[in-house]
Amino acid sequence: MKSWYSLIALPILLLAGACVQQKFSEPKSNSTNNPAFAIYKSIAELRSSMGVAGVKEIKENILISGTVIADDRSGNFYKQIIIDDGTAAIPILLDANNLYNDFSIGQKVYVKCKGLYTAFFYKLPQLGYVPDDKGLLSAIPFHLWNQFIVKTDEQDTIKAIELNVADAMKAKSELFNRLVTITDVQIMDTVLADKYALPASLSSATNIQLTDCDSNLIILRTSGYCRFQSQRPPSLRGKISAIYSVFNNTPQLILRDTPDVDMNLPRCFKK
Amino acid sequence: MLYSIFDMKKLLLFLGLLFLQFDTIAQNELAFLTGRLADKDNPYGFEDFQLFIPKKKQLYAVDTNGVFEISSMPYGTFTIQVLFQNELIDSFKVAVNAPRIDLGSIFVSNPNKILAREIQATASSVLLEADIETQEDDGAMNNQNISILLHSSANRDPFLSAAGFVFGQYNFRTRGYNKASQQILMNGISMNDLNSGNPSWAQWSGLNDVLKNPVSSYGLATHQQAFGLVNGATAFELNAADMSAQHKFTYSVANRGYHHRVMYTHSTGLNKKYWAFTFSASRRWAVEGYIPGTSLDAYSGLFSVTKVVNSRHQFSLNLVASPSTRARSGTAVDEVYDLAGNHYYNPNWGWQDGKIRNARLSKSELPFAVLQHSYSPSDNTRINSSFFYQMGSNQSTSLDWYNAIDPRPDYYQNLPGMYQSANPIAAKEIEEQLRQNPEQLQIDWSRLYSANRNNFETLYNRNGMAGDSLQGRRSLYVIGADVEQLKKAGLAMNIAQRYSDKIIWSGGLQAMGQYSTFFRRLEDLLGGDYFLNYNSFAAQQFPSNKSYLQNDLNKPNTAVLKGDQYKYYFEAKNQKAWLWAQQEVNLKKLSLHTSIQAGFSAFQRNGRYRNGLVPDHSFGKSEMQSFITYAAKGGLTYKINGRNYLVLNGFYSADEPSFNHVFIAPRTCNQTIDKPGLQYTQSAEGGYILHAPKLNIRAMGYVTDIKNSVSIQRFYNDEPEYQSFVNFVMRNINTRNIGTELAIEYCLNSMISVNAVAALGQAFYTNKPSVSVYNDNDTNLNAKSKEVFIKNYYLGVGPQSAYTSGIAYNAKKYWYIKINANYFDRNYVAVNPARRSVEAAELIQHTDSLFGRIFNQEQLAAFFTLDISGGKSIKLYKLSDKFSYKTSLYINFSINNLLNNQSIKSSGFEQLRYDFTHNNPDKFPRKYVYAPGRTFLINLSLKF
Repeated sequence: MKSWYSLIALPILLLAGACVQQKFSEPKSNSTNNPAFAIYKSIAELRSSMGVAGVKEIKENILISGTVIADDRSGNFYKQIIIDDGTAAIPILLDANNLYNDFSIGQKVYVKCKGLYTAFFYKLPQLGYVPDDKGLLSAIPFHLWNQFIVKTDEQDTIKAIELNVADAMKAKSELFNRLVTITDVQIMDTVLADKYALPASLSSATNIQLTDCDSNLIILRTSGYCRFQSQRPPSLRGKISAIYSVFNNTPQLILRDTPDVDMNLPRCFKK
Repeated sequence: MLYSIFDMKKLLLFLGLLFLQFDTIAQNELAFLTGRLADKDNPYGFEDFQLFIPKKKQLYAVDTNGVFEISSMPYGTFTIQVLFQNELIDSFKVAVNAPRIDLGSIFVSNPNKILAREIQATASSVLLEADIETQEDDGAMNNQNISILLHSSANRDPFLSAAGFVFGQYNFRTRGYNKASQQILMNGISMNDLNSGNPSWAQWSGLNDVLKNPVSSYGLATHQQAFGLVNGATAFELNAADMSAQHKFTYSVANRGYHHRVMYTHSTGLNKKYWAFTFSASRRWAVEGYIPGTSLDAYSGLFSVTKVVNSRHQFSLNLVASPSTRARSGTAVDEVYDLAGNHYYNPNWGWQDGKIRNARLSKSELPFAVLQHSYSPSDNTRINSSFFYQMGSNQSTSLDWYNAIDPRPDYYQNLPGMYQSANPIAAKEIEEQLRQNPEQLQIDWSRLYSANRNNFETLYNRNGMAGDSLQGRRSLYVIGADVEQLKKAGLAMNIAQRYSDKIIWSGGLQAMGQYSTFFRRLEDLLGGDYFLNYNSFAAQQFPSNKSYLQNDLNKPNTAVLKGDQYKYYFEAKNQKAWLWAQQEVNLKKLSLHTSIQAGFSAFQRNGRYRNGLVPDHSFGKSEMQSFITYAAKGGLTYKINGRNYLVLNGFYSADEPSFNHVFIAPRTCNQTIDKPGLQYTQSAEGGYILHAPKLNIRAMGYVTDIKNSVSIQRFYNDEPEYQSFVNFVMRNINTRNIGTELAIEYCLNSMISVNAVAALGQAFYTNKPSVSVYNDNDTNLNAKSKEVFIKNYYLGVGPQSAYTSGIAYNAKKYWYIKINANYFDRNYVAVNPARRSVEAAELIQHTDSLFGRIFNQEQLAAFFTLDISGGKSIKLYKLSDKFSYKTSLYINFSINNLLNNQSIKSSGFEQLRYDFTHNNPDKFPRKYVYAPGRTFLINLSLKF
């Protein structure tokens, strides 16, 4: 018997050839810190170039940057993030759910604007992509994000602008899309809801009336799809931070998430 | 020897003790046998032939005219093996019951055909890889042709040969049957899975050297080891004493499922103490297979020991393992194949760390052991008893995500087609972007890691403990594995007795138990710290309900870490036992056979999770589901003369529904379909067979009706009203498979033979089944029911018309070449039954072309292919004295799809999602699998 064949054959079999199974090391962050781009503009400059109405294509090599001040983690924003560079803020329409995976609050991003479009959605300025068949800006398709947006690892905090309800009622365009804190505010008695929003099956969005002690009113808007929809809003008085927005000429606040609601003071009653 | 590596002493001692109880039966009388091997096609004479009698472990010479003499044969029944160049090519049985026996002329296989079979069997194993690669995702993996490839008589039956070797590679299924239609036996034990009915070939793939000669029956023919199923039975016998003493090294190179294969097999033959050992091992691998992103790493090993106690008793023990890991391919819609510019686009992989990483890995580790006792109480009776045990696991990984962007690179919402109508400019830009950046059509691992790393969250009330919170990076994306861990034990007994010259009785029993545990296990957190055991779909649907989203209410808010179970966790217990008996009567002009079978089957689910959506129906044991099954078959063969036969067979069976077709959503709950019932199969076949020296003809017709079957299709329904996993339960499905099988083979002379084969079938639905749609995320267990109009639609079972014509040249110097021209047609995509309902075309006029587009079934384009194969054997010992006697080298090659047609759609299916809101049949387009282009295999074997 040539038993040595077996002894040789076994290790040959087991060791033969290349290793198929591979070990993978964790990929490093692919975010960029300081992209070198030609033209830099502030968001305020971009805003002023938009005029006051109409759709415009950005044809120049414009670069803006900003810190994300609103994302869709809670589900109250849908297919957009808002960035602010200290001069102004603007929503960027992005075509996906769960944008916070890639763009979360506090993260700094750069936007290469050439090829994007600006427009006004019921008077609210927006940055997005080619208008669709209804003339509305479309959201930047997922596969095109990296043509326009550069993520960074830089983190920043944008301070909210403090306002009272009376000031907030005056649709001030320089406040559009910015993070504001409304002081001395409470949810109006008549709409004092036991939930932040009606369930999506009844209504996609809910307007909650906020009031101060002087009967000034402003709308706080919440989505039926958001994660805090069924939570009970506080019935006390205090501060609320939100994104300042407008629908035609009606100012409204869009709540980011419930930690932005800070109401611990006793309610006031109409004087 | 290898066995000397291991500590065999204890085992041998144990086996020896077992054998002691059997007394050796003395065989005093000795006989003298003579005979002559014959084969009119054999151009060589019988120079390289020998005979081998395993029981006597002795070789006998054959002269160049085929004449042999065997002296000193004891009385009894013996298997005599015919060896060509030391390779088993045929065997026959003799009963020695007289002092002098003349066996006359014994027709044996042409050695060139054996050589051809060698390459074909090799090709078949490659094919098996391809099958697994391309079809697993659709749940339509079809192995049945492989068994035909291994069919012991496939090289003699022109139809079976073509069905396996030629048609099999293009998704053809004999008679349009599914893979659970054939019973597979390993040393008498039924290997079909008790949960699904499917035999998993992965359990022994790679052991080609030792598994190439099973005993098979096709269709409704009889098998002496099993009653069989509607497509017959294939019985593998692992027995070291039946394998001739040899060493064999094989190396293969290919561009198919694997790129390299090494195999080594060594058999000792029976030694002087009547022990025989066989060792076989192989490795097959491809760093990247034919389809980009796929890979294979598969090992196999067999250790087999046989002890011949005496002429009556024999024990064999076989240990088999075939662990494999493969990175899988996926299916895609034509839009993506077009964007990728490649019909072999695979969405399952992406670049990581400069290497290809595939998210879908399948691992199979199902080692088993079979102990068999063969007992021949008389020369005419054989009783085999086998005990089987198996434990191991199957697992299959994929991505999971929770509150995250869909990570699939071909996700339909992101494709240009989704933008086309509302925003054609955007569609054009996306198309451009993807064409120029093909990596965007692969998984972006770096994005997944970075999303996980940036997602700091706090998990409150961890494990349901108030106040216990966990802060960390909650993974948005993870890789999880669907795991099945199983333990299976079985007992089988098989008796066959030649009662008289005319009557053979056979029968047997099998009893099996299988205990499986199914769960999902976290394999990789992809840079995060923990994952949540939440039902993401329930969370989406009921954002406010904190218990609905819990996969396990017994342990809510679990932080899932690597290696932990999550998502679902349940056990399935199966028991099955059956008895069968068969009588075959051989009269001068007529052969008759009748068989019956009766059995019992029971199974039960045991939930280990209390699912938040169905807390009262998920945890604990379900009711036991039990069924009495029965079957009968019979038939006759009328022998017009020694060459012309007429065959007629009939079959009827009532089989239990499988576990997966009784429990509506076994991963979630114990709920079953209402009053699960038996599935009935009735089948008949008949035809004409001619076996003449130069001409072989087979012309058969068949019809098979399968009634009252159940199908449960599970998929994610994107429609706004569902947004959930849906269980689409179709009950009372009736189908018919009807067709003809024609084959003709003609030998022009001893060197050239030609053949022509056609398989023309129709497999279609014959009624309008009722459908209930169970929403996984619905706490209400009552389903909506409707009728689907699928009567006369074809089943998606591969080409239903297949033709081949071939010519084979067998040269005198031990080489051959063979060319086949093939044509396939009438390959239908599998339909989505929900699309054939009233709701699918509401308010659409029958005359509207849209109506046709919704309801018509797509027929894939017919195609033509050319295959070529050849081989040569070289007797090295004749070239140099350095080689020991019998040292031979075999070189084989095969090239499939020689014309490199890369546009062959071998299968397709309609997605189960449908746009009921707009009745748009193109929203969820069909998905396809393309057959490989030109592939090759070169095989080198050295035997000595």
